[in-house]
Amino acid sequence: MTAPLDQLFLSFQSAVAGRYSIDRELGRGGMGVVYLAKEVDLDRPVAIKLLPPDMAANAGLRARFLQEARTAAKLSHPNIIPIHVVDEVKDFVFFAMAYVEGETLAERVRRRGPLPPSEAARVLREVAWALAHAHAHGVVHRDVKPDNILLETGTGRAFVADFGIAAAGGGPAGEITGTPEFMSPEQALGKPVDGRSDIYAFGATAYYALSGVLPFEGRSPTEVLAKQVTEAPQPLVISAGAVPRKLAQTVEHCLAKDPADRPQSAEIVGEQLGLALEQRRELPVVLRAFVKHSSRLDGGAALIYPFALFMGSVAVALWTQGATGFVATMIGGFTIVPLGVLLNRARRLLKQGFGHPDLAPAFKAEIELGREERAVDAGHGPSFVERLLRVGSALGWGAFGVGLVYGYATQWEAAGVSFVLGWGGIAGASLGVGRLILLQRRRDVDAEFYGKLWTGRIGKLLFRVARLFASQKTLTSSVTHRPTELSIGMAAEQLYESLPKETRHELKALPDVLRRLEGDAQRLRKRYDELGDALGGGGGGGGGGGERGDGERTSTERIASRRDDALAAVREERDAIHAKLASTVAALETIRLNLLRLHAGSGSVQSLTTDLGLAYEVAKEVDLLLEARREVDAVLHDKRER
Amino acid sequence: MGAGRVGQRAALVLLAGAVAGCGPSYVPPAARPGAQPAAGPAALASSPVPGVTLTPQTSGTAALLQAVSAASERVVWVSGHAATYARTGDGGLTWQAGTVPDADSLQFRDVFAVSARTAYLLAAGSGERSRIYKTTNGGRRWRLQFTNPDPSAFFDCFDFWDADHGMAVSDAVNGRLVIIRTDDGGATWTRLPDAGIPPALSGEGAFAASGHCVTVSRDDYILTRSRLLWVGTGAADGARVYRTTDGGAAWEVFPTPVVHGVFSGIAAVAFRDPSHGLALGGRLGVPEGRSDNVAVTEDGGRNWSLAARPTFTGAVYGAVYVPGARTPTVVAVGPKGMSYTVDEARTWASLDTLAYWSVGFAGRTGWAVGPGGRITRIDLAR
Repeated sequence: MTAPLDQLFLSFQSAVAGRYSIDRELGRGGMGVVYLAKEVDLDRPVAIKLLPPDMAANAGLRARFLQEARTAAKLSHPNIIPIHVVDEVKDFVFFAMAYVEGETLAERVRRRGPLPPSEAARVLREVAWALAHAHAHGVVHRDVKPDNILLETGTGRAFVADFGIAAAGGGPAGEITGTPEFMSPEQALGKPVDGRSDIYAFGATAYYALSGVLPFEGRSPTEVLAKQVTEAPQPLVISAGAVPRKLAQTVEHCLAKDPADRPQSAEIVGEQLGLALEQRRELPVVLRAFVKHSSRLDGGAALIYPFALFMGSVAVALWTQGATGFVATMIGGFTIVPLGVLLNRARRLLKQGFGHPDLAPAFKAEIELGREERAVDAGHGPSFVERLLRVGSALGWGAFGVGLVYGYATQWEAAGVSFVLGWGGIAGASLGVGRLILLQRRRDVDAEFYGKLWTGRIGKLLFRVARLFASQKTLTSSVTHRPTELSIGMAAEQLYESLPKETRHELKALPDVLRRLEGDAQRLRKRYDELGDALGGGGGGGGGGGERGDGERTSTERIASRRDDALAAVREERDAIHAKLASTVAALETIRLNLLRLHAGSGSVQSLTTDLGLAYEVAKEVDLLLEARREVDAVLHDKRER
Repeated sequence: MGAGRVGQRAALVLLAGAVAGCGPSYVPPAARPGAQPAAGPAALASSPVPGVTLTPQTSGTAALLQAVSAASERVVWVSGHAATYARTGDGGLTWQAGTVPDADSLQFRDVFAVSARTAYLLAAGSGERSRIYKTTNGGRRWRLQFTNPDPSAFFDCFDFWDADHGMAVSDAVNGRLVIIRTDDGGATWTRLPDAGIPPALSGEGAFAASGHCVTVSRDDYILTRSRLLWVGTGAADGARVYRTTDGGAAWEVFPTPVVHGVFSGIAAVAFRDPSHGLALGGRLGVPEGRSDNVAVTEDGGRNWSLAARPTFTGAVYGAVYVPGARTPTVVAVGPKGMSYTVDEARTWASLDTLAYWSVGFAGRTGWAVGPGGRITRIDLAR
């Protein structure tokens, strides 16, 4: 088996002697053998891809191969392996490309397992850029797969190889080649393909890079192809676990069966991957600890406390010789002590340099993380049993309520009232607890509850009270990673607090303006993130393949162009929001700077009031913008309802 | 709709041809998780023939393993004596072995893997020792789906077109093979009426050696929904191949030149498409001798002609086509070794001389199983 290959090596070397000095074989696939060689003239290493002789003997194939390779050779991009020469010498047809030292993405995953999400997102973004460049130049790759992506040693830079070459290897029209595991449904069905087919293969490649598992597997190529056409891949969150939501969305979006349901260009994919890269911000450890543990009333003490309280209440009752003492101690114990505990924790957080506004993003991140982790085991929707328990619990409480009303109406004398009350209550409570247990498996109920508590009105109040007992220290922004507007606002507020009383009085409108700007900025940022999500998401899935031919195609195109329009509109709004966010933050910054100057003795209250006036204007504009959007939303929502 | 579907299948057929075998254009599948076993007994991996790597794996059982079914290159189930089964989800780097409760003396001589969680087991034996079990939770619970009620029946093999549609075959009783079928994932197994089944030879039966005596064409089922199935048998008066093209409503039976006798005949049938296949077997009790034990067909089993014998002596117990190979490749195993052919049994090359009862492939990766819990992974380069 090796003998004919050696023969090939020898005869090829003698054919190109003087031009190339072939060192060794690098690999081989269906489209030929790849050799590492040295280009004699320029004394540089090159990789030479040689079309197998049996294919080179076919004139049609040969011409197509040359044509494809020449088109691909025109591509020039930092993430595409450049082709230096496309040539035919005697019976040999080959091209020489730059030699990139490194390993393929496939080898990397085989050797070290799936890529960490952040690295995967970086590599994939580079691949997406390469595809975008090629598509813009009218070249469709047709065989995107981990074996065709090289990761350069040292830099980790991704290179895409073999553009369009797969197409050249096909037989008569309609017979397309590629790799079943990465082939788009339209390619599997022998339909014409465009860049979006590459995006599907890219999605499959990304899926493999992130999970180490192929989206579709089977016994035979036919089975794999059939799955590409008819089956949905297992959600990435199940196959891979800790992949950030946005990244997973992007990949699954690429794997939509219908090309119109995928991102419409590799450029968009690159953009979405960029967003996915930026999305994950690390929480400071203090906040993480707060969200995870100290925000809550749980653990051993919380279990023992009610018992201790009961005993204490009994003692008080004995001492005071009356039930009032017992009740008062119980009520007091169940309200004041937990309140005190929570207040103390708020105070501690303040002392550590964080404030109430830090909590909302922290809880959000924690809940999201929990959701990702839980989705691995429990899936996304409620199970049948959970639904059953929910209904049962509702019925139980319903019966309890009816019993209560009926009992009240009949002066508690009707027979069966206590029976209904008792069993209704027991059923309602026990089934409710059961449901909560199941729900807890699916969602972090604890974190959600405490998140609501702390970020809501109660939490705000707790922090306001806690601030009376603790002076907040400032942290550098590198520690907190809090949104800029928050850190500026908080800093300005502190500066304001430390001003002399008279000055504060003169500037008494300042805290209000600050708070307003802060709130605006937060709302703007939230909207900005939402829009980013929309650009990154787009709801993957996608129904079955369109297999109806030309009639279908126009509608597919219509859907595609509508989608493009919608995306463009979203992008436009995002840009507008971004501009407003920038000016809001700038207004906050101006105020802070003036406060600083005031502190240093070089500023004046006068200039600050002017700035406050200007800031007020900015806030008003933002309010208008957000208001307008709300109205549009309301109208759209209305329409949908109808 | 109908036209659209047919079109789709036609295109898939065309393509499957291009990628699966004949075309020169097949680009080998790229990412094969665990294709080169990085961990485990990699040091023991050997390469008897260029392009083929054999890797012994640790099954976690010492029972005789008699059947293999690979759902993909990662998910494989094997089964054997003492109610034993084992499965892997990582191409065999790790195997989890187990036994089916309350079935300790049963011999699971056939297995069909649907996924990492779902698999069927066929216990072969007389009367109620012929049974079918199924799990849908990775072996945590096995449901007994079928117990053979006929004391003279002996079920040998089964096979499935997909997760729900399958068929199991027993030796002849009262002059007919006993054949049962399911269309609902095994919830019900119904016996086919004798009327549609051709009369059996005296003492005709299949051999429960490897689970390969019954073979379906799964690719053809995917592409055309036609339910093709072949059964290889042996008897004193002939070694024959039964065929149905409609899931068992109508049957034909064809003689083969394979050696026949009371303990001789066809132990394995293998097809790569509706037309091209091999029937393999021999004298099952004679490990040293050689006999005419391979026949080849090019017309779906109507006409058979003798082909070359594998390199090892004795009978062939199991044989399969490698579904992901570029050129049609068959791997055959028996108690005296393992061979493969890339030219439809014109020539064979030896892969191993250890004893194997059965072999199963997905893509270009296979697993051969044998006595003492032996599992050997086979990787074909192209």
